[in-house]
Amino acid sequence: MPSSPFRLPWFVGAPAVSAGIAAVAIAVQSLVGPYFERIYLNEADPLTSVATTSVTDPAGTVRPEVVVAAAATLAQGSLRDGEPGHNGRGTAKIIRDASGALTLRFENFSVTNGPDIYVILATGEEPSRTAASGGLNLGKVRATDGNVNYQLPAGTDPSVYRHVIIWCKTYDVVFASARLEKSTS
Amino acid sequence: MTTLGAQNPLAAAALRAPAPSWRKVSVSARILATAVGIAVAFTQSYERTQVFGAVIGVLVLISFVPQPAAVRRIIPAIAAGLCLFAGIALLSQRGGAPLATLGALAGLAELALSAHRRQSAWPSVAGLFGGAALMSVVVVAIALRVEG
Repeated sequence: MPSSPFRLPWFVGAPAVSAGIAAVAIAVQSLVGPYFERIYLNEADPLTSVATTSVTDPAGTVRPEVVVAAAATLAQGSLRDGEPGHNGRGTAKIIRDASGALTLRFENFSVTNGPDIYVILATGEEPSRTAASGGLNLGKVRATDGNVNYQLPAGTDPSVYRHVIIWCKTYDVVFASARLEKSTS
Repeated sequence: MTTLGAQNPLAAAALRAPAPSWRKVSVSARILATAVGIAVAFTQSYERTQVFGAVIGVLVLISFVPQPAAVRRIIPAIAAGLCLFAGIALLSQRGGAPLATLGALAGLAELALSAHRRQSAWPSVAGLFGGAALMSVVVVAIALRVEG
């Protein structure tokens, strides 16, 4: 039998190798697995939703009245790639719907998937890791492709935010970002 | 990592089946894994997954090319490790579980063949982990070269 640098008894070597393979498998599944996973979602555009109110006509009949004037796109920007190997495309919009609620909406959205990635609104001039870590966290990315809405917390002032950032919290990596410009529409 | 000898019950289990049977298991598992990789390339819609499946399939296929004696034992084990860990990376996709299972089968067959050769199992074990390293290189290369 040729000599080996690793002469371990089988009852040490076999469990050690098994544990090593299991550890690598867990690492591969948690780090690389999400990379190939795609989640598609198509949510309704808040701009097309309508709010209704009730009015009473001169005859005393109560009828619903559609309110559409309040719905507007406040800011928008195009998604661009983040750090090397991380891509994003589509449009990010901050929309005030007819009820006055604020929504960040991604349209024709596609982003590289990964572990523990979040949607962040950031105030900084650059879509950096620092800006992402200190930004307004809208929650985990719910879909990698499609048209997706994220509610902004009540009382948020959307005018202070300059960027939308898709950010991996665990590994502090910017996956994609969009610079928000005030919308004229 | 470990030495498979007559006193080792794992080696004894491996020796219960003849070497040609283990060789058939290793070869068959790798051929099927190549087919699964190519199938992933043709059935998935995400470009990076398509490329990943195709590259894994081609790399496993390369393990059948005649090799120098120095690497003849380790290359099939690397291919087995590549299938095993690529399958684990694709577990959420159709084709991932079969790929991982075929990789595990091929890996076990390569370890069993070590016992038949009365040789240390460590080159095969190193090959399995080498497969994980090779898969990582493939993933990084795809990330940098294929938009997705």
